[in-house]
Amino acid sequence: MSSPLAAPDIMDARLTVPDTVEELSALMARASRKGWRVRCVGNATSLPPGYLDGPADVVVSTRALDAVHHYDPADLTLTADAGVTLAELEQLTGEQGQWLPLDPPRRPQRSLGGVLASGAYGPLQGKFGTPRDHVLGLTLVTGDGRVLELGGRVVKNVAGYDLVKLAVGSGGRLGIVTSATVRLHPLPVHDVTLLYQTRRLALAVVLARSLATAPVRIPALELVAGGGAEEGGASGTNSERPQNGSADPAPTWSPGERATVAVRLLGSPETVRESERILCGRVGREASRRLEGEESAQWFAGLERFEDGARAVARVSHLPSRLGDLAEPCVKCGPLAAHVSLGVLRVAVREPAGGDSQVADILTRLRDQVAGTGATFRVSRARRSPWPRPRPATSPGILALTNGIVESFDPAGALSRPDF
Amino acid sequence: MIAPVPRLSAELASALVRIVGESGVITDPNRLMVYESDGLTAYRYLPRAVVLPRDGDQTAQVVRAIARAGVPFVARGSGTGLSGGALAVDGAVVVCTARMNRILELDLDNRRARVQPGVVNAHLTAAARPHGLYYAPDPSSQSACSIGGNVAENSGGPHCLKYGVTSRYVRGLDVVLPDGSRVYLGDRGHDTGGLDLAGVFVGSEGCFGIAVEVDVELLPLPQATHTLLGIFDRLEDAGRAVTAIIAGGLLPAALEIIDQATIQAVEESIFAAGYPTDAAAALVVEFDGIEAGLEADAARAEAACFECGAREVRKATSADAREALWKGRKKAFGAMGRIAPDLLVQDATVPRTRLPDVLAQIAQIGARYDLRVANVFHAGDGNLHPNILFDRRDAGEMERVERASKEIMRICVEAGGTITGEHGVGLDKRDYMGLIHSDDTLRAMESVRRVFDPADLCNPGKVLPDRIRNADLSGGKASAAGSGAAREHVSAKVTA
Repeated sequence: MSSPLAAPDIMDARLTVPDTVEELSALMARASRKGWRVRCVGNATSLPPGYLDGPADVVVSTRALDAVHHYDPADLTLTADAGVTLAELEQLTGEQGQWLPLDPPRRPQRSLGGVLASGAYGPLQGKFGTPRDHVLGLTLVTGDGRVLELGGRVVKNVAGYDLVKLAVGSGGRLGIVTSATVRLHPLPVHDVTLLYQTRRLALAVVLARSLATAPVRIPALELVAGGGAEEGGASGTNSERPQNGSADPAPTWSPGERATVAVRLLGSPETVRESERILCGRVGREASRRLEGEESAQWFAGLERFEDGARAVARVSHLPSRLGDLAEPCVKCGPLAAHVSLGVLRVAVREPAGGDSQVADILTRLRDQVAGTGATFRVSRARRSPWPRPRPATSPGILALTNGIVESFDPAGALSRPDF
Repeated sequence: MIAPVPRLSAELASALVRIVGESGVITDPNRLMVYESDGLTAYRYLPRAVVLPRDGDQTAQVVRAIARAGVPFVARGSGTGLSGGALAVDGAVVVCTARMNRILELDLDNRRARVQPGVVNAHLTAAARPHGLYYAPDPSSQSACSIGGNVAENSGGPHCLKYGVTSRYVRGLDVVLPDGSRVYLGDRGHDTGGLDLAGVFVGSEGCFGIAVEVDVELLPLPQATHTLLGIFDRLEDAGRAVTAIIAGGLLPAALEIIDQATIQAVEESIFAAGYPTDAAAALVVEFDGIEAGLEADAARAEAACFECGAREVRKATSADAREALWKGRKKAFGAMGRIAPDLLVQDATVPRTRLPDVLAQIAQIGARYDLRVANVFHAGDGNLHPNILFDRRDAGEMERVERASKEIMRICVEAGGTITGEHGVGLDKRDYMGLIHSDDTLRAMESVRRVFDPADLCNPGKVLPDRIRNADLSGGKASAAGSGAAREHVSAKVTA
């Protein structure tokens, strides 16, 4: 029954791969009664830092829940099990000229359940929102084994409190998502990426902000820069690629001040052409490179691999207008990829000379540097502990509400996480 | 029957006056009558008192004083809600946000606005428009409804087909919790990795606390707008055209249907919009965005209408001409008031592909109960608004209305739909909640409510059926909460 997971090293004795929701529900009920600690790994592509540290009695994967229950292309809705990967969904919906416009890190391998549990998103949030905006309903097996159907299958629904919002992005603390109904979109006819390359980061920031405030809704607007003092590159393969002059459509990171602002435009050919005209007019220059169709998609697929191979990934966020204050300190720690219109900056800390403790030092330094601007800092991925705690700390009021809610879904704390 | 209303204690009354001043506390029964109903006029509850704070600090003090006295309370915005969500059940005190009507900040750089909850929806767009921005959610009552009310109901509107509903645009909320404490929910633009508490607060129908400041996202104004009006000889054909347009890969900003009964009501009224009265349905299709692409989109939608049997398709691009095409849709509710004294608006949503079939069944139900049912609805979302026209003075007709209404709800649920798409559950649809949610799910909702409101004082009697509100939720720690005393929310529905 077990399907191979993306991370085979966690396939140990504790791993359970239930075939049915009932099996999972019974397991959670038993775990709750016996005081077991349970971890759910989905497809194990992108676990939060320290998630499998500490004494977990059972590790559950939802990979075997892999059916698509309902797909009505005319209605643009689809209900699938948690174990279905985004690549499988892409294949299925693509045949009907539709897609789920979600592009979190490591998109192809990630399971639907994992993406919803983590709330992970990527550049396309600029137009399409984050997982919470795509989900119409889901099935959740709570920490104590109750099977809750939350939300529904229709695109507009206010029947009762919106518990779907709580489950999505909860980090698996309330329960395990076993299936979900998502809203699909028609595949855009035209896909164009404009790359603006600059020699100085400051210039890229000005350019990115100017684009972000243009009178056009940009589906994805990213700033990528830097590579720290050590050799750069988002992934092993990308780092070996030349910065300029290549026809190969993938983002590159290199040491120094160079930066790239990437604008992805989607829609009808007329709309995309006119958007290009408006944006180029606004920043007063033509793009350094223009990618179309498959090349455009590939450049952004490359960005999905940004976090691959990183020792740790830090997320720094603030109002979008504060990009300039944050980009500089971030880029000193490693390659940077920023969701410009959202004000979220990701820094991938790569192999430093001094090992894990040096990674922690770099992260702590960054955290303390950005604290003065009022930004939020947290580590979203780390291969080894220790890593610095998020700042600012959660307020007592939020903590009380969070704990109360978590307790009502998982009274025995079967899913409680050491990192929260 | 109207439930007797307990009086406000002298002690609480003077405490409230100390906080908001004499003019901010209403206890005179004649003046309280203004607040006894909301947009759903079938129910009436006289509040114990109405308090009108001016800002978050005053609201927190007011709520603390009321909570300390153990008195239930309910927040009220403009009172345009259509599910009885703001009614003062259980002798509740109404905390009205009408005086909290300031736009606190327009942050153009970040396309955000911070507003007080009493700001009228359309006023926010009016303030943002000169800067090339607007607030996207546009409920039909937008010229009167408040942002705070929109947050409570997670309001939609004709253009949420393309742009999404309120929760998509709320970035954060400064909230007074039911015990009077204050907390900021959401990320204020930050990516914190915590539970989406702002997400669950939006749409909680005033049961989780009172939002006293709301941070919302604004969008750039679309460069241009193209509107089409398809005229159909069969309502089902209009429904098929909706499916054809969506399935064809087009994403209009709005897709709205009005049926023959509505067209006739509009055309007989002062709002006459020039729709042919012999048509079975009119379909409004609107595209907005970058001018260059709209022509092609509109042409494809026009073709889809004709393929599905449209008799005529009218087009408009100028503001005046577009307004004329929309007029029949926008004035529909006002026009219906002319032909019957009472109106029951339903709000079920069904999968879009089931529209033709469900519409046909609704027509049959109307005929079977000898009732006039007029449909005007957000077809692109599958969000139906069957309006049953009646006269409440006719007891026999009232009974037929209630039975027909239940049947309509049932067929919508059976078609895979839900009981409310945008109006909320409120007092009106509590007893239908069991049609779509299991008891386990309802109890999970109640557990979350008790986390926000352990003393059970905030907007009593709404959203969940009494049997769930009063349940002992053993298993979860929430069972210790609640007043313990089982409350019956006696319906004070006015039937004569």
